[in-house]
Amino acid sequence: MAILQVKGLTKNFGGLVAVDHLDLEINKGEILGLIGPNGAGKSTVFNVISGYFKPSAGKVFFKGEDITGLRMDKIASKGLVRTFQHTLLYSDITVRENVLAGLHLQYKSGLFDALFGFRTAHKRTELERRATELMEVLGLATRSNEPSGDLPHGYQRLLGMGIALSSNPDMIMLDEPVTGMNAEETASTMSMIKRMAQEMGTTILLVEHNMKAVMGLCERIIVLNFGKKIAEGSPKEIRQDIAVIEAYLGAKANAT
Amino acid sequence: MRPVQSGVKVKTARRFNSKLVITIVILILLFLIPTFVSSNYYLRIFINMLYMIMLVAGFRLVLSAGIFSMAPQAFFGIGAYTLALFVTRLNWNWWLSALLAGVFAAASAAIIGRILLRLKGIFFAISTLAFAFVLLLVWRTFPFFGRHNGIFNISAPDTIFGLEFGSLVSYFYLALVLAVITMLVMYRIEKSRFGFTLHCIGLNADLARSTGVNVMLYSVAAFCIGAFFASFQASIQPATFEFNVLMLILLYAVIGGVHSVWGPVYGVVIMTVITTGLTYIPNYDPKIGPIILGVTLIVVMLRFPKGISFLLESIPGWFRKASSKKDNEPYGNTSS
Repeated sequence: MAILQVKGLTKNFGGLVAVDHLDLEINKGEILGLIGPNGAGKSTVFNVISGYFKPSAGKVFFKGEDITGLRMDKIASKGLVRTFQHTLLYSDITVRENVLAGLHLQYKSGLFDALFGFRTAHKRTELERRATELMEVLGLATRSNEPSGDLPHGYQRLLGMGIALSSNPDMIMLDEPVTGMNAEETASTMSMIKRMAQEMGTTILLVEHNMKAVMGLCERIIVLNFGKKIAEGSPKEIRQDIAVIEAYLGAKANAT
Repeated sequence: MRPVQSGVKVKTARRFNSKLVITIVILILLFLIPTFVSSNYYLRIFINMLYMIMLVAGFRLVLSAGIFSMAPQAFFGIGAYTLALFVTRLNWNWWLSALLAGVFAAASAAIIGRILLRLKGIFFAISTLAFAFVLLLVWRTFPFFGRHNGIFNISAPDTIFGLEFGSLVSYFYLALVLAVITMLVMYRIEKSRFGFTLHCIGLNADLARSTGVNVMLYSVAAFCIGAFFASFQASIQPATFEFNVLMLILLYAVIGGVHSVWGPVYGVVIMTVITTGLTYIPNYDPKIGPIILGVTLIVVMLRFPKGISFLLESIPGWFRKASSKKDNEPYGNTSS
């Protein structure tokens, strides 16, 4: 059963076609990789699906529901969240507060609740419990009271994932989850992502340049170049695909 | 493990109580001010301080969501004109008109906010400033708003709960009650989930959106509350709604520190004490005032970029650190 269906997705920026009639489907619980050379339109695909940009044409269905062009927070509240490449976390506040901020959807409180303190105490302890749980899963429990901006880079990315995860989504889109990490951090993040898919049943779509990580994690990979899908298949198939090799290394001058 | 934990509980409970006691003592002292201060000159300074605190507090709340509005004085003006028009032209009850003033200011903030909040950062700031100037022109141009003279002969507040308005002392109490309510609401918001979400939006609006926060709704709400409290104090005394008011608001906010709810209070009180103290210098030239304000601003920006509140609120921390270094160790160990 496809949880996310993208049909004929197109995004133009003026004359530039960043994404060109892209079709893709992701099954529930799957880890799907989206790769391609720089400027292939991977991030644009993310931005359009997550509601950051409105598509120029095409449709996006999530859990069978048309979510094309909805606001980002609406889409997030339907259970499809994303992480960012750069703006990962709220850097001025502590790790714990970051996770608590991610729990926003579980704790919608109106202004009147805020002013008069209605039914907040019970919910607050419940939230604190969930935050602690999440930080233990992420391995950040010992650092919970540190300002998140002081964390090492690898932990910051992990926390960014934790914020996305805290809303208990059906599907997460990870934008370069292991970029800039050392081998050890990459390995632990990869096992984190695997656990998310296997234990929590979260569907994962990820963009990543680290080929080793992508090949190791994904069951299926889609390759983009100039906004078009040029290949789709298992890691093994992708590795041997001539169009993919050409896209990354350039076509030989004498090739026809 | 057990005794340590219970120890912590007792400590926090005691600290909460001492905070409450201090708050009550300060409140009582504030309400006793008119018995110590009889001169109208000083009472006016106090009233000025109180209404400035309300303006700055509203500005800070809006700023905490990362929204840099340059129109608090415009909403102040909307409130003041609404009140004045209803009281003078329609002879409505003063209190009802004051309430309407707040509603009007908040409603216009909702409309303006919904339109302008699509813009970000400096673009939003400039467009709010333009809005403020246009409003000022409207008030200055149309006879309905009294043109350059404004609206005068606004009657004093009607008697309420047996309280008669007339003397400056009664206005002081009105200002004080409104300021206390304002700060109470600001404090509640700061400690609430709503305030926390506003802070998160201020830190990283895109991330907030990605976790399901309706950023527009929260921003407009903050903008409305800010406008409401800006108009709140219009009921006290009709002042000018000009650019210099905005400059004062910014100055007090920066000097007091925007990271703390109490920043506006510190900023206003400290700067008022300085500027009032200056007038005691023999042969004082009033032109020196702005220079001193400017110098203070520069010193605060360089030495305490987070404002006076950051400095003041870190003082108790120094003592706690010095006295309970040993106590802190076990917690560090248990968590690792």
